[in-house]
Amino acid sequence: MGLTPAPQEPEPVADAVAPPAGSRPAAGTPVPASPARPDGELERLAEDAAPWVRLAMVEDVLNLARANSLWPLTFGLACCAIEMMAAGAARYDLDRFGVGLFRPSPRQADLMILAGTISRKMAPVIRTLWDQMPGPKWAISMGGCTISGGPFKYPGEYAISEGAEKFMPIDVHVPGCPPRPEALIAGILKLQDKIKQGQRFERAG
Amino acid sequence: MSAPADLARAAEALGATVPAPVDHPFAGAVEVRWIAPGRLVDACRLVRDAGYFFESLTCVDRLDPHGTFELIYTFNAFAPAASGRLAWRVWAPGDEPVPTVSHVFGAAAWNEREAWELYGVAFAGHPNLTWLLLPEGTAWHPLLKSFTAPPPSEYDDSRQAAPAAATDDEPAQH
Repeated sequence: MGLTPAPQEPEPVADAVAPPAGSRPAAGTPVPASPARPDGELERLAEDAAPWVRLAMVEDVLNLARANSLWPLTFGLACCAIEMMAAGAARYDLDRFGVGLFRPSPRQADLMILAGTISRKMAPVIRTLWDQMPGPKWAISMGGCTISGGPFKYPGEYAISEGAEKFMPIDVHVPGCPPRPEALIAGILKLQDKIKQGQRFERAG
Repeated sequence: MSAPADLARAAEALGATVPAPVDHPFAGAVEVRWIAPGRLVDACRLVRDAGYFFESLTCVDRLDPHGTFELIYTFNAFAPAASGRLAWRVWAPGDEPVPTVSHVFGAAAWNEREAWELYGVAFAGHPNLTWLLLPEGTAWHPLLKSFTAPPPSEYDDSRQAAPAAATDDEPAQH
């Protein structure tokens, strides 16, 4: 991707009719052979250009941009949201990492910070919001409740979901009850590292 | 403004209530009366006209032979003359609806919804008897003493998605 220099125009072959640009050659027309390139020409070109042109994978650049301008969904579920707000405010200042732009619409967000207890009533709402977010998108589960149900996990529990991972994919788990803002920032930095490494597998959901 | 004792005696004179044991340190009410479900609305009107506000509705699963649930309506007032809470206690059979008092005290509508979804007590005439804390369509009542564990939710485990439970507990029609 982006590594190959623009192919040179093939030399017109004498006994072949060159088709006009954009049209398909008629059936039976011999296809002009691609020009042969001497071995090592590409490498030599790249070597010559190296002092002036830095070639990088476009996806790497995109991932760098994505990692450094995450737009979280304005979305708090319980007491962890207070710590999330503290992380976004002046003292901890998520804007330093490019994560401070909380969006009020899932269509504009690419990061969901699940901050707080997930009740059974709220789980379908969260799943809908997650489905409404356009990809690429990431999710951080903040606090024990969103990891496993936390203090609400016991036999006969009837109102609380046992973790967000039951119904949506999570990239980074931040343990704590609630985690301090530093812990959330550490989780976000971890997520940024993960994004910069690129996507190795097709994501599910 | 009348004191709770005067108000309770007035309700008794109307034939609406019967004296009940007062356990002030335990219940926090200075006057407590038993009351029949049919006289509940009258008794609540009396309390409202005396300047009291509705404080809470508590439901208890008593498993008792003369009624399954015990509903406790607590009233209070800001004026110093009130000097304490007043409680109406109602024995409710599990299969018959209790008259709503939401048209007397608007705030009671919320408590009645909660009692309906957590205990299954129906309230006749309630304007919007539907789920408040549990997901819509929940067919079980978690605070009953017979309740052990909820059925799995389809959002509980994506690998074992259970079909949505059939709803046999529709909101009461009015």
